[in-house]
Amino acid sequence: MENEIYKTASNCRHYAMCKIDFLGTGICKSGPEKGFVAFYPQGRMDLYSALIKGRVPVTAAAWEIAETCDLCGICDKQCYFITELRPVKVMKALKDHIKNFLENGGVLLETKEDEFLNSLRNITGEKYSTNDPAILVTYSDDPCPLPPPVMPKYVTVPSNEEEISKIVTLCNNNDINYSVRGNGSSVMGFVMSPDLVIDTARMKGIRIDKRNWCVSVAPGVSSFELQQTVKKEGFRVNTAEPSALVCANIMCSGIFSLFSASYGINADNLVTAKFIDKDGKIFSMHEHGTKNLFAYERKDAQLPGICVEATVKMYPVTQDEEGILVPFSDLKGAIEFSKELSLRRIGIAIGILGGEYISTFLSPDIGLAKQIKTVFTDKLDIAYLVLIIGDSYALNSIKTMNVPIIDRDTFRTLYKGLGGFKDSQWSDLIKELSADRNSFEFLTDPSMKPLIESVLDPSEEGLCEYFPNDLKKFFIDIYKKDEYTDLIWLNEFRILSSRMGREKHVFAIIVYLPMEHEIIEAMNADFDKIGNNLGINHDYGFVTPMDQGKRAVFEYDYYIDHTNENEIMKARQAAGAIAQMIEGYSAKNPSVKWIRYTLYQGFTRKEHILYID
Amino acid sequence: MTNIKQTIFLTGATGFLGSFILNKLLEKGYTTIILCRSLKEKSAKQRISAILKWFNKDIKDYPNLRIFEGNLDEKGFGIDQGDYNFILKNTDEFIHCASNTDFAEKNRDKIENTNIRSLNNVFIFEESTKIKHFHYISTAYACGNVQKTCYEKLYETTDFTNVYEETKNKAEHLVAEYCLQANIPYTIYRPSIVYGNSITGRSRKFNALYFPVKSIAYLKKIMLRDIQTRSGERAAQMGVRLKSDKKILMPLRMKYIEGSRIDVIPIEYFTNVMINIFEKKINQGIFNITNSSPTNLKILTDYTSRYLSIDGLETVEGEITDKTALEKLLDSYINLYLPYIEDVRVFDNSNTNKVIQGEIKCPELSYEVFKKCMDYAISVEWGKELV
Repeated sequence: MENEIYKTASNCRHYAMCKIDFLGTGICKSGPEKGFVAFYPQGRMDLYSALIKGRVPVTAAAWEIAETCDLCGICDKQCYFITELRPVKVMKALKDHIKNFLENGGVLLETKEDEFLNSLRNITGEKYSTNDPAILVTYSDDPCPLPPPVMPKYVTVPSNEEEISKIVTLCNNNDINYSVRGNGSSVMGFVMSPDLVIDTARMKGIRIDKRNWCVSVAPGVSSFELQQTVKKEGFRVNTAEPSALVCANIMCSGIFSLFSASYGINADNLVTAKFIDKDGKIFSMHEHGTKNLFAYERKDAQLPGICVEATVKMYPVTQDEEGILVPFSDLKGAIEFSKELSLRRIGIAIGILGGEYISTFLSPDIGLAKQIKTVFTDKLDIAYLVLIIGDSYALNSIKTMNVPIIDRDTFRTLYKGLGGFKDSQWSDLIKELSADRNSFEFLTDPSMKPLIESVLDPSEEGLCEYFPNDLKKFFIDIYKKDEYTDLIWLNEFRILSSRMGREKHVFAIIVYLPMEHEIIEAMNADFDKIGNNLGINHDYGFVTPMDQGKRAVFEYDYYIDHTNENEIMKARQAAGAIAQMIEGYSAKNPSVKWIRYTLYQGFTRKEHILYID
Repeated sequence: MTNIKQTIFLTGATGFLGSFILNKLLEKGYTTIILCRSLKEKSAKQRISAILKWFNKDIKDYPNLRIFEGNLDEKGFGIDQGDYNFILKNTDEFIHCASNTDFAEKNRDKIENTNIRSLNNVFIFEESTKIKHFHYISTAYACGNVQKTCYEKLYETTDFTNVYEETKNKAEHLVAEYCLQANIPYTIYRPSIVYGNSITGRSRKFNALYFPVKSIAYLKKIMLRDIQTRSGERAAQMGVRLKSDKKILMPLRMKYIEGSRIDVIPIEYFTNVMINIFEKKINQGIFNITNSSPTNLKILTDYTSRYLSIDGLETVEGEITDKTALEKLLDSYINLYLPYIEDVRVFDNSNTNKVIQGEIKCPELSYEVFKKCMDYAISVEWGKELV
């Protein structure tokens, strides 16, 4: 049992979904109150793991972290939905661990405040700066397998840009290095520091400018929070993963999503941004005489400053939008179709997803996902799906293109009837009936709807059959809400893509390249080969066309158990092989650009990245 | 005088017809060499062993059976030279039964590869050895879309129902040309649509005759579930309901052409006739192994209704407009087999009859035979339970 709890704790992927209210349950109370990630379930998982491994002693903060968890169970629901992990047992184990320690005569370690910490606290207030190891350790790791953990000496959680400015000045005066941390997942170790980590979690300001269709966000605002806020006003923004902090994400890589098909990437979505530079001075991008952050240089860049506010564009949403899926039996067909859409500016969001999207991402349970995985690819001939979100004019245009369409209703039927796909008789029947056409055409024929519904018998209860008994009712109610089976909502908030890491930690490789099937297929095959050669899990991610089909963003994903030394080693080997492969393509074709070279240049104009060789 | 049986090299032994030919050859004491691929996690030997077990045979009892793991599509059959030489040295006669029986045009390349291009490898093999006779398992439908009677001769035509027929026709020509040029006696066997054993109901393949029954049985199950657990609203949208006598009414219309015939033969008839002809070594013989009294769609629809206890299945003359979802679903299958369902061709089997001289009669596909076959199919979950 203890091993199972430790395994749960060390498997936290740091996706920080426990920090956003994506299920409408509320979030862990202590997190926003205290500010440090240590007081969220994610942090408690890390702390428990660290205590068991002996990485940190039992300190006053450790006690407080354990005490402030009221075992409300919200994190179980959130985490289970994404990863099937159940953190509450870790929270209980943490409490028991501290309790046993004290009962056995243990004394809580009180860390001493040094001069630097004292100065920090003078800026932020005592509660929001610390050198307690129990809190430090929750900032020491990034489940990305490439860098080793780095324990900071201090962590601070400022509340506004003035405090950050003072902190930077303080660091400069004391020769202290710092890194700025968003929600800290898979950023290749760049958010770790041996000295000071600045956590922007408390800076939650959102300011909508409806007249100019833009919104300004403070650096502690997540994509989910921002999208939720603007949606209430009838708008949408181009966002990253739901728990990714908007400013941090722009800083790191620029924002790209399926909506980049129309909204673009990087500076396309940006109005301006405010920074604290390395001297502690505040500057804004749009001001004359400041560093030109729209410019790009193909090299490993330095942090230009700490982004303390980003003003991004809001895009109006019309009431007639719908999300659809168009299945394809091969990647070439999917690419050419998507390119055509992009060329003709049809659709707001376009993405070529793998055929396993339905089984892997939609499935509420890994067991079910595995059972039905091959149904979609092998029996229904769905190797790829093009997801399109568009208004009625766009969708009517697509209907005239004579492609099979999984519309909103059929998607809901498929989603809520996923369990029905276990019945191999149905998929065998379809396969045999298909003969000279693709099997999926049965799914997309409107006259088949009553039959498909009869076969799959979609229902929230059926879908939730695979949830643990104590969570069943909760999730039945969740799935009764339209948004959880609506392609628009699911992609605006990118909820389901968070599931890609549910079995193992994912590290994503992103490349910008021409929207041409030859090169995409070739790179896809090479990514696949690297994964196979090293025996690590891997899969095609997605392709989104941009700039009228001239370019595309291509994601390929590798999955590793970040707690397993052997897999970590393989991941490092993979990283080397991947780097060599991509650089090889770039050397032959300068239009192939690895996102690695946009680190800290996420504010640049995409044209500078993509079209200047 | 010792009756030493010859050594037969057989391809396609894991297929439906091939497995029965293998069984018969072993029963008759032939030394048999098989070329077979491994599949998923089963080696060639494991596959053949499982097939023999189905025939209530133990592979250990047949030391005269040699199995080589290889692939007809590959040069040298994908086996090492030593094994290849062994087969070359020891083969007396060659029965080529391996075939891709897919009809789908989208799979043309694969079908042509197996049915036509792999013959190159077969002919190369034959060039290197002196086989005494080449036997080619074709299909009655290799004659193409002739007007009325399909005779037991080679047909020069480009009018076929599907790529399978086309490739089998081409293959027949290639076999004939090659064997004539190489002075190898050959025989071509043309079975029509083959189903299970008419006495036991047992079969190893469940397409053709079985598939519509399987589909309708499945649809009945789904409709019943909807009626019994979900108030039947969705079933009602498709016109399906439970009648007062508790029988299910499932309206399904299928187009029928007066005078059309469905030529089906049971597997034991095919095997017995084929081996009978095989043992007579008739050079350049082409034999239609077909049914002189074929059935038709009306009869089969009646059988299906009775067997599945469904009302509403009917045959209709003329085009059906306003098709329901159920009808559209079955349409795809029916469309593929339509030429065989609406067939008005007659297969002349004079050559066959001359050879078998009335000793082997083709059993009628009565309701009892139909029932036996479907009972067996259901007992093995339409082939899922079979290896």
